[in-house]
Amino acid sequence: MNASASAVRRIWRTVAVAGLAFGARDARAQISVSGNPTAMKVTAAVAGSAPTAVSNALTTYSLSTNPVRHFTVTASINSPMPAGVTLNITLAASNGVSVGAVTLSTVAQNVVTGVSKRMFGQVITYTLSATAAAGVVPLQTRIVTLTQINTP
Amino acid sequence: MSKSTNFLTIGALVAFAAVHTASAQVTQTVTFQVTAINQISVTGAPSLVINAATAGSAPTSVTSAANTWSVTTNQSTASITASIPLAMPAGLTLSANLTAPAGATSAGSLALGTVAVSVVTGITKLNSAALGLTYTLDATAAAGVVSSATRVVTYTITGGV
Repeated sequence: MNASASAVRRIWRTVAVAGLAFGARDARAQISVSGNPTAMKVTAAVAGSAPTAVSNALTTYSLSTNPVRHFTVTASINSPMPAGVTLNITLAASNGVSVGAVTLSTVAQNVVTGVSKRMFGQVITYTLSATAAAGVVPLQTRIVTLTQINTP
Repeated sequence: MSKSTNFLTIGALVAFAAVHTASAQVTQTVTFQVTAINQISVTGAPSLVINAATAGSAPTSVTSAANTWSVTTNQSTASITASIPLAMPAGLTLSANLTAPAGATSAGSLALGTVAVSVVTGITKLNSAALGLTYTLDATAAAGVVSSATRVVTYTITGGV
């Protein structure tokens, strides 16, 4: 092999390794939460109105790496809510666009889009509401999955 | 295709895949509950004065219809009772008539006493506001002149199942 061929080969390797490193940057992508929210209970109503909704804004999420371009965050729950009961989620996003309150379902929905760089301690707000027709709903849980996705 | 080109292609594909498919997930467990809710409220401050009669008849009854009541229950077959803390003077009758919300039953105009009476029954999982509430005061001639007095009417909602 002559010197010229070796030089070209070294260049290709460098480019390829750079590509792998570029990919590795996203492989480290992380989303985390500060914990689980405390139990939310609808216990009251103003007579004549639907039961009073309750909220919890005591947990946060963080995106600890920078996106190649942008991150989107989606949210879903593992099983449907009981009839007449609604669980909404709102994610703050200091470096992105919060979609606002999203009613959670088993289908993942965007809750934050256009995240341009990492962010920490962003407030997650849950709101539980119920209609009178929902009746008494025993204590139960839903697993909320937040997914961080690279987007163009 | 040379080895170098293959290497480059693999690297580029890995990078491309990372950009377009890499994702991370995290979960939270949300715990929730809806407890039994039974709320009732009333509006209005009725004042009833009997001051007339048709000759030959008992004093003319008076009514106050500018009152409302509202209810929220997430249980089935809830009911409303009404009572007053002191009996009415002899010959005077104070009655209440509550309009029933959809699907429930009103007992109509019922005389109020110190023993609670059911005025609306069968209220099931609803919220309804500004329902009609009418008071009626009746007096016999034998009641005579009765000084101004008040009675506090207590409405109680009892949850069903």
